Amino acid sequence: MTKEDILKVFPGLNSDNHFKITSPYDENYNCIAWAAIHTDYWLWPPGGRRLDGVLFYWPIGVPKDDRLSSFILMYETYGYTLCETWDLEEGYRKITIYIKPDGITVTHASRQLRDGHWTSKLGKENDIQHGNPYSIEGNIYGLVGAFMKKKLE
Amino acid sequence: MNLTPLKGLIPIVIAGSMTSENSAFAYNYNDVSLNNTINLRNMDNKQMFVEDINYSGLILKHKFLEYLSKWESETIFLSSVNQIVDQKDFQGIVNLGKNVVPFIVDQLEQKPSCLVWALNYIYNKTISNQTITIEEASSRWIKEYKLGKLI
Repeated sequence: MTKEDILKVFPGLNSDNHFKITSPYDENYNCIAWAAIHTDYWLWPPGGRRLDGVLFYWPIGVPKDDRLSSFILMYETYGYTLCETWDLEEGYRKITIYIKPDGITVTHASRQLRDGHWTSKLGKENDIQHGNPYSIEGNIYGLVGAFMKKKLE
Repeated sequence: MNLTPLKGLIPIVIAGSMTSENSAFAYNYNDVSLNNTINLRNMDNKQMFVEDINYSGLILKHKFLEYLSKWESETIFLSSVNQIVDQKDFQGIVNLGKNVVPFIVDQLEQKPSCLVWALNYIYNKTISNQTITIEEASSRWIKEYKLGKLI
């Protein structure tokens, strides 16, 4: 997928000077796994059927649904806690979880890089860098739903 | 044979014992059924039937590619596994059953992809009990197919 193709779908990136494609197409992982720095499987609450390439594991005690509250609990098992802002904080890694306008259903997640830029895996397609969490809001990923952070070791 | 859809019509040339004043025909995709019967109309709008022609494979492939194209375009940016496999065109592929497995394998050979999930549905199993990558899973399904293990 070209930069122009992506800009058509995510118009907010047109005014994001930090936007660039950072990886080739790769169907081995999705954005939720990428936010947790995994590139070898898809991560999503398991439905009723096992699928190749999808990690069937979901933390015990976390509801197996795509609600924001469930994803927050899931990322907490990776050491993240809720935080107020997306600003770069020394010694922390941050993620953003996106939700549909219904305010409940998770659509996407992005992760802050050490230099303060953000990285997203676009579905089955490329990884991109963007300057802030808001520039990929829109019809596809909806709105920013929550920020979480984790202390770097 | 390459068939290129053109404004809802698929050009076709029929060779054989059929005679007509018109040398060129077109059939409407929706007029073709899987029982090897093709419903034609000539210039006088007279209905004609041609039977016992093996069009089913051709039609199946066309239908599969149609579903595949729509599924890919509608799910390309989605991360939700559930949304991707519940999408109607993906379910359309699954509902075509084992007859489309050669076409799926052909696609996976060209490009390992989440289309491998259609095989999970059709055969009601995963290719590995471990969590392997989409690429590895595609490779293993292709191998099973070529060994004749997918019946």
